[in-house]
Amino acid sequence: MIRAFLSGMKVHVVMFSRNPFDLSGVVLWPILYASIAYYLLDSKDNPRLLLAASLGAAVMLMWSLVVIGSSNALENQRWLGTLELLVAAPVPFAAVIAPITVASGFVGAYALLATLAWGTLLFDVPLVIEQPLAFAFAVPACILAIGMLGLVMASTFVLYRAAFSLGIALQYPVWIATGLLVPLSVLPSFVGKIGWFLGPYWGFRAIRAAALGGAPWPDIGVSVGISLAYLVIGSVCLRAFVHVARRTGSLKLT
Amino acid sequence: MRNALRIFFVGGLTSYRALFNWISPWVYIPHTLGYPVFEILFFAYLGRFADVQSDQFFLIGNAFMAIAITGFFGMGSAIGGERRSQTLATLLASPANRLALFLGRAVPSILTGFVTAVFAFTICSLILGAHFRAHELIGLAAAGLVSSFACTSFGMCLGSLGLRGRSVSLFADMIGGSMLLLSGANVPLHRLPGSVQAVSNVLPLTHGIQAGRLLGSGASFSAAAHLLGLEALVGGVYLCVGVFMLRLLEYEGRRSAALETF
Amino acid sequence: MQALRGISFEVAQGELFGLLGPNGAGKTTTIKILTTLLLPSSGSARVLGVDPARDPSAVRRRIGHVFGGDRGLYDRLSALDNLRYFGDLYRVPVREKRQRIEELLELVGLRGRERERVETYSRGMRQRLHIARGLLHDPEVLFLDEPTIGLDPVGARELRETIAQLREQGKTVLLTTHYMYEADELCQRIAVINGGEIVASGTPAELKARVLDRTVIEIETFGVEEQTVARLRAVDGVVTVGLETREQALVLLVQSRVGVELVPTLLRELDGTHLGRVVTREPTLEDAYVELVQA
Repeated sequence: MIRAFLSGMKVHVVMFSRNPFDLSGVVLWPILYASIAYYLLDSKDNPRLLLAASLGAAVMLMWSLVVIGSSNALENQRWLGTLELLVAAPVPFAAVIAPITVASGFVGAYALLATLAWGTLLFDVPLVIEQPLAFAFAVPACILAIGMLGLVMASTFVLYRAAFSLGIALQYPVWIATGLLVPLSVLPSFVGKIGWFLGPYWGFRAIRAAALGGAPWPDIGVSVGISLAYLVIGSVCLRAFVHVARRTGSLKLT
Repeated sequence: MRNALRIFFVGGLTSYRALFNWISPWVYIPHTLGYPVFEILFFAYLGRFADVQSDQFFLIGNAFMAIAITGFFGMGSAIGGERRSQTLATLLASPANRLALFLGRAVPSILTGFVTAVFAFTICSLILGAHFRAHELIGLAAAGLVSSFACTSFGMCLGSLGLRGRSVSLFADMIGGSMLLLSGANVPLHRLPGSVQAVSNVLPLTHGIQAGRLLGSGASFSAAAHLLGLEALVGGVYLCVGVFMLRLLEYEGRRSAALETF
Repeated sequence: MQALRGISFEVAQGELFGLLGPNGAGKTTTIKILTTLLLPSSGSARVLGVDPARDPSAVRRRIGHVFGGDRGLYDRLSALDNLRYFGDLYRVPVREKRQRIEELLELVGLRGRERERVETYSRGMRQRLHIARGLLHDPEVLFLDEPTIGLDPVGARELRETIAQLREQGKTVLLTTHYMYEADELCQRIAVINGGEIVASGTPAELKARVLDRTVIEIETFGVEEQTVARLRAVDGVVTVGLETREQALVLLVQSRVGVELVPTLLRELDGTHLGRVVTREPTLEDAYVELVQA
């Protein structure tokens, strides 16, 4: 099962990387949002805020890639004609689909490099990570937390005909609710509470604490924990999906 | 002329209905309306945190962005949509007035954009507690219309470019995104480097947003007139370029018998 | 809507069994049920002694599924990457994976092109890659769903040679097709399915025997009316009348009992219709098939 997961990750990351337009988007969007933040926050004269903005913009992109990629994942595989083969594989279906959603988050790691480089080179953003070891764990934990939430979305959105546009519509709301670029302190308190249930919230907290100083390990722990919860929920939903699809014969397009 | 008008209205409505063949309006509309609302809120709250501009600044800037995006994509997808259903060759080979044809197809999207922007603006004003007087709203609407024209013309250029390449919608998407920064929607222009400002000044929306902000805070039309004029000029130039490109493409297509590849 | 109306057949180990029928007959539905991808609304199936509806994972490990068409592979990856990925998914032991992939590439004739991206492959090559993929985990039973569909004649022939090799190796194969010559060439036993039911089964020779007592008269026309065909069917001694389009002509295939001289009668009924060649010949498996699926 682990082998299927890792193999799947490799396959989907490679497939994504082979499209130059997708890749340029991965670099462009976080740079855009980060730049807007830099210009606005410049007057505050707090370089650490700018670093937080870089990290936030990268995680924003991670979320976009996952939410858009996942909402469509099953439909996409159906369109490629590979869905049947994936269902027929003798491993749990979740182990086949999870790599697709997590791979999207993994690609977001490119964004991290892009925003940090951009910020440092053009805006004098200090590239100082307070706790490098924790950071090295926080990033994968964040990817996992976001990717596994993607698994839940993949398995539930497939029932919704306009899954793709739902994915797009959920970008800003989640960015807001999880405090990625806009600090939760300026938002009404109920917004933050929504964030508690979302992977990006904990993943970003972990990354920010590791980079700017704080207590990242509890946040890393919660990120991993919430990933497991998503995995369980996602597996159950996927099993239901496969059962319905087998009943109605809708695993293939034709 | 009457024929052109007919093509304009009937063709436009038909393509709009075709859109709803694959996505239910009950789904499309909430999503289209929801997106700009959250975009406005995102930047408005970011602005509050940064404490450099008023809520109104971001409210107007991002509401205009909503108009802009549909302007770009309205034209682009009208052209691209024809190409996808492989009717482009047929259209270009017909004696129909090109402008009426494509504008007709773009207008429904543009109208949707306008409605979306107004809706988002209203909701967010309520949430953020921003108030506008009647003449300010009229001024905003006027600036919005001019910006819409400019963005649609720009969209026409992008769309025609699209006929030569395949991934233009992604490219247009990125340009649209860059406008968040370049148009002054979220960052005051004077804070951008000089070279970037130069680019902003030749893009649509930039002057329109500035005019909108002036009019939205109570200034008179005469104060904003030169900005509105500049925006209209930018739009006019892009319109000419766009029409020229469509004609060029048609000519090239006929010359090299490549219209079918469209 | 019922796709299957009650079918029943058995495939012995090591046999290459053909399920032959026109489009919409229910072949694909049958395969989907057997390969765990579709739950039957009634009835039971057993693959290697296990019910695919109840215990899908036990079945999935031991069967391979290959379907025709352009899809089902990751275009942006190379053939090798595709095989490696599916190998992992289908639990091919790591130690054996590389060798197995090499052997299969050799078997399907793709050795030397495995590092190229699948998007550059012709349809025939994709089909062969599908077969390689289906055999990766050394399944005991292989299901081939219309494998030569859409292939050019050369590609189809190469593929059939590969399938024949599988038969030589003693694999159990269930093949569905609507090409009767393909079933005739490859299969040891055939079941003819039409409208969701099995209308005949047996070896190719047995099926041909059904029409051995027939003569086939081919009459070339350039268009014939419905009522005329109905009249022909009503002629005493005529068993069936089939229609086949060949280039510009519409050919009437009239099956009659051997010994009955029908040509003059037929020509009389066709008076007024523009006719071309008229040929009398012995029946083939195709004629048996035509009769079975026209019923």
